[in-house]
Amino acid sequence: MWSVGGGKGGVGKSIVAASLAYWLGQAKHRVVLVDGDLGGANLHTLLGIRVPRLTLEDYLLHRVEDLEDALLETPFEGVRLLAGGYDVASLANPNYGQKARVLRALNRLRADHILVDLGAGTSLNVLDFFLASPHRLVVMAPQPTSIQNAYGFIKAALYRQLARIVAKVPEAAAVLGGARGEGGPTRTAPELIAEMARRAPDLGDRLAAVLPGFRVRLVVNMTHNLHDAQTAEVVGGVCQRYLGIAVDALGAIPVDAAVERWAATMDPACFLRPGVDGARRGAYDIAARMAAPPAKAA
Amino acid sequence: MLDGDLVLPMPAQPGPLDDAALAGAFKAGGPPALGDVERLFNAYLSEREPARAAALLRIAAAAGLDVAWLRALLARMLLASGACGAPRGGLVASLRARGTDGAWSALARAELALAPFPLAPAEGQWLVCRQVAASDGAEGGLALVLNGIAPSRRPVLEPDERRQDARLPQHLAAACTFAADDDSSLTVRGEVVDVSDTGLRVRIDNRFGSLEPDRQPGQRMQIEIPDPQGGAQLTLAGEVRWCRPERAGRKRVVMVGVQCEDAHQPGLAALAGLVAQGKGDQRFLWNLWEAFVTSR
Repeated sequence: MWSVGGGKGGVGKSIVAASLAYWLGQAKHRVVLVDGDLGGANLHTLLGIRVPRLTLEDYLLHRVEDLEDALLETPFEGVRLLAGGYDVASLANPNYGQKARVLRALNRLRADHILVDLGAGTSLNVLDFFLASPHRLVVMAPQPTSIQNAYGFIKAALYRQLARIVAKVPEAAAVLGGARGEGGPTRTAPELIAEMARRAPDLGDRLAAVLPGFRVRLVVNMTHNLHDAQTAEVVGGVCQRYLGIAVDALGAIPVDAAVERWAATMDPACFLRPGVDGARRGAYDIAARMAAPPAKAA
Repeated sequence: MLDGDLVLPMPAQPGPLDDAALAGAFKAGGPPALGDVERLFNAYLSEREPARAAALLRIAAAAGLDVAWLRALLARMLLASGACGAPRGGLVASLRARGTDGAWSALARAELALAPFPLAPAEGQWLVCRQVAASDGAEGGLALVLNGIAPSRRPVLEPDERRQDARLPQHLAAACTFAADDDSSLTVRGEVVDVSDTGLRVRIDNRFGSLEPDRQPGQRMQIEIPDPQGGAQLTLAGEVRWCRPERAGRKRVVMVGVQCEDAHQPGLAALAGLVAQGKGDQRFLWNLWEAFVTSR
């Protein structure tokens, strides 16, 4: 399962998620695309479905017992969609039980890849779905504000994971609270973890395992040139320095008039042209890297 | 080959670089990885150091690495940029008249020999000269263009390879679509590795793992090649004659031999013309950068 997040709206998360799903499906992999924007679902419109017949809401409200039955066919070969509920305020803030039920059901789906297109922002629900995925992808644009947002999103996700570990030890949890406070030098994540471990020695092993296991991959969307594509390395460098985590660049997707038409018209046919160039090529390469088995350690 | 082509076998002769000494130096530190060579090559090109790039490729080749496509790329770049001197009318005819040894000697004395790309390939390699139509209405409607160095050795035929003629080495990005038995299709990225009169060889990205080399032969395959200079896309189709897995760095790739259908022979000739005019993939730096990123 891949979660596709990003700090802010407008960077093209949904388009990127749909493009990746397209190529994975095109390569004969079974793909489920999940609209994880629980408060403002619209991935279905991007795929040319004006009113989804079934949505995640039907599953949460037990109108459908098997999540497989809530999946919709899409114009993309091999790609099925789990549409989000739309205009349903209660869905925007599912409780713990609902989230756990959805995650369990997602993991049982008959699919080679599940792509969860998350909503914008750093709400706890967004971060929890992001952290629940074994593979995490952050989409950013090459602008400075987007670079900041991408870093902020990754940092928020990391702190959320740490906060969950120390939730029952107020003295340790207070360290994170202090890290967000005013004044004083900025403390890096490894420094915070060391402090938390001192205050909660029983959690030392779990805390120590967070940074080595925290993997995020970046996609730079709407690039104009090689320099734009390399902005992922800026975020990676800052994450390494201040968060102590390795962030990999998974690829870049160039600006493409066809994709802009797709976003403007909500007609996926704009993406279904022959050839592998422009944004199609960028998405192809990223999808191929997602599909490839991990390299064996030397 | 096309009518009018002249194919010259290269004699063995030492180049301006002492290959043996350089290769020895390389071996002292262990043979380089192909990915490292590509990165260094990329860096040299970025720094406008074609001489160093050429030397690097010669060293890498001496160390046993297959850098044929990089050499072809460099040769085409130099020709396209004018670094090797302008094409000269009468060159092919002149060379043809001199015979193999005489032609090579003439080339060695020509302006081209002074270019950073050394005109001293190893024995067994081939130089292809092609006469192509001029685009700028040169006198007589034809211009004679030195096609460049064809660094591939005289074809080493694959077990199922039917093409007996010489091939022009390539690095042209392509979209390859396989038609499956169930009317579905599979589109993957590839690059045309060489072209001949009857077909082409394509290196195909199989990172998705969707291609099964044992099952591809006999299938119909369509190849779409965008004109690197923004012209009309070229579409070819044919039958997969053979398909075998090949590893290139960490990527999973398969090599495919395609015999073009008769209806696509004009397209194949057009592709050969594209090649002969030195038009390669203009996105090669991007490709190399991608290779650099993904190989880390």
